[in-house]
Amino acid sequence: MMAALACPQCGNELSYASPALPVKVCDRCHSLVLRKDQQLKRIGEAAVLPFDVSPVQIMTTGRWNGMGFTVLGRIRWGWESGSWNEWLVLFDDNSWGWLGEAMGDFMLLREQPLDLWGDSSLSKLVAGESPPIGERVDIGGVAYTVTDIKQATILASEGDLPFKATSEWTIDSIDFRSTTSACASFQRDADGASFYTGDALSVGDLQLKSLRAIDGWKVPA
Amino acid sequence: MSEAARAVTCPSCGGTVQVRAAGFSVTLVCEYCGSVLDVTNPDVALIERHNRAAAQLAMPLGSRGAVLGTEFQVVGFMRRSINGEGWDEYLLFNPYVGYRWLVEEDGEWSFGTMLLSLPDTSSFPTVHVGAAAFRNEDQSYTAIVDSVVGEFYWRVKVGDAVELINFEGGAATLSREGVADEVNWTVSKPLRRDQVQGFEGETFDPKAPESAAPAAFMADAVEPETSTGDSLWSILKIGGATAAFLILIMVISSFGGLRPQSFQYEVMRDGGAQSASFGPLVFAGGRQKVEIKTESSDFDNAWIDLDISLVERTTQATIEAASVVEKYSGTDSDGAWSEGSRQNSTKIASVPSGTYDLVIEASAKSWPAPVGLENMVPMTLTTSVSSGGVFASNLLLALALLAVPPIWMIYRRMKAAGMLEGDDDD
Repeated sequence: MMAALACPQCGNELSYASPALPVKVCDRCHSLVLRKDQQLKRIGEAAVLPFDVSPVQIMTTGRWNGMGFTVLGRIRWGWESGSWNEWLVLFDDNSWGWLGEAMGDFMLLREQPLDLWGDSSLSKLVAGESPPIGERVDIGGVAYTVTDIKQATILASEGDLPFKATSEWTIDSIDFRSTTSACASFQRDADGASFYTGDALSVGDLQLKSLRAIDGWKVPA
Repeated sequence: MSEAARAVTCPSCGGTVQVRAAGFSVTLVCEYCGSVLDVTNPDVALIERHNRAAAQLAMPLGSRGAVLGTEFQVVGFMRRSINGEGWDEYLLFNPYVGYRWLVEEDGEWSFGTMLLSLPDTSSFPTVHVGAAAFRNEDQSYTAIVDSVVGEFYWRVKVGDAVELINFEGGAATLSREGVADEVNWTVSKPLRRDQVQGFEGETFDPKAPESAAPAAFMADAVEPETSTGDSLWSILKIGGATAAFLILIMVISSFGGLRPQSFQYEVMRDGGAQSASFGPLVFAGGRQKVEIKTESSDFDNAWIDLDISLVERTTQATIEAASVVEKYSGTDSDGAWSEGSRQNSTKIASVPSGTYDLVIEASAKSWPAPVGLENMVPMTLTTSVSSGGVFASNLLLALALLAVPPIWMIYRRMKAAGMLEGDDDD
């Protein structure tokens, strides 16, 4: 379902893809526009995305594990020594997830309820503990290893988003990998926590289509 | 065509430097002055100022080429070493593929991919990546960054040290690199030199021939034709049709066989046996003769033992041959003498069609045997493989014989016309 409404700031036509994604970054004026009860409200402004050479763009499609998805939005996170993209994807079953992109590789993640497995390790993370890098952490029956802990801030955003993503937002981000493609990511801020599980993949695993054209490079067929 | 690069100005030397993996790159080492820059943010920050001379790289920054048929661009270069033993690492990037490492150590090439998952280390010193097993049979080393230029997705500078542990699994190597709490795992596979193409300039045409070296076989075949002057063609009708027919047979038989291919490699004199593998060599069109010629320029008083195998890829059927290249010279009571030749060839009468790898085990020994290791110098060997239903030499002989009557006729006519006054050797 695509509902078309006008941006309260510039009048640009905004279409909302899913009720689960109530926030949209106007691609003309970069206003963050919240849709509520068929009304649009400007709730902030997104910074302009810095130039990057990601092969992904809004409307790129892909497929993993039999489930197709379409890229609709992006948050660019920055940390002390770099930055990465989290692409918001809408799956064919209308659920949404994130396609994390860093160092040329990807993590396709879906949010999981924090109380789904009742694991004490997850409760400790929610309570504010940060296990050291290299420590084994079992969550939901998967043996993960902590591979990365960083404090990240939103640098910029675009497209459809499930929440208000503005630059003042800072989170703790903890990444987990395993001996299979299974991976996970935990994010925590002052207001709460969220946990995502999925797969660590290379660009070739995702059957991406409608890739961004990058000057000087041949877009794969 | 403009490239998808972000241009930044080096705050140290003012040079314009390309950020080719914009958005991924964190550190950029200026190719002009060696200063270390932080390119994470739109405002480029100087981390460490240097004034070093520009590095001369075998594969320059920004150059494009293909590894195993996939196009990449060189975005970074590091020279690292363990206890003074160094190797070169090129960071390759393709926005649609990601990052890879192209590593060169003592002329051996390998291609590294960072692991997305973690190896299973529960049965250390054997570790598993999926079903593949790798075993550590060596200590850990400290690898130091000796020089660095270009852009990287992490913070890097000269002097950085990592703990390096290698695990061997057949031809592949799994490397664990750890620094502080960060660990990276990379799988590297050996590459033949011909699996790396280009990397000479900022453009790369994958359709361009890999080597401009002409196929000797074909060149020979064409020679009698091209050396014949245009004015003589009208008289050369006799035998011309037959010659054309023979050339046609030669061309057809070479299509059925294999375009001659040459492979170059090095063997250390008095350094024991070394092996090298080349391929694929595709022999089509049924059983055929194969000639394997090996030569080495500029050596003396040594012999090179060659064990040559043609290994069919699917069946692993192996055809073996041996060859010796030897050349000696000296002076005795009769004066200077010399024997042997710097080249030798082996012919295999009947090789079934198929896709083969050429495996060569070569050892070069000095004669007389050296005292100590002073002769441990590399020798460059070139092995050429050619095949076909008919050997070129036979056809050339036939062509030469066919040419005798018309040339005799030309000679007679020209002499009769008085065109050969004092010009006999034309």
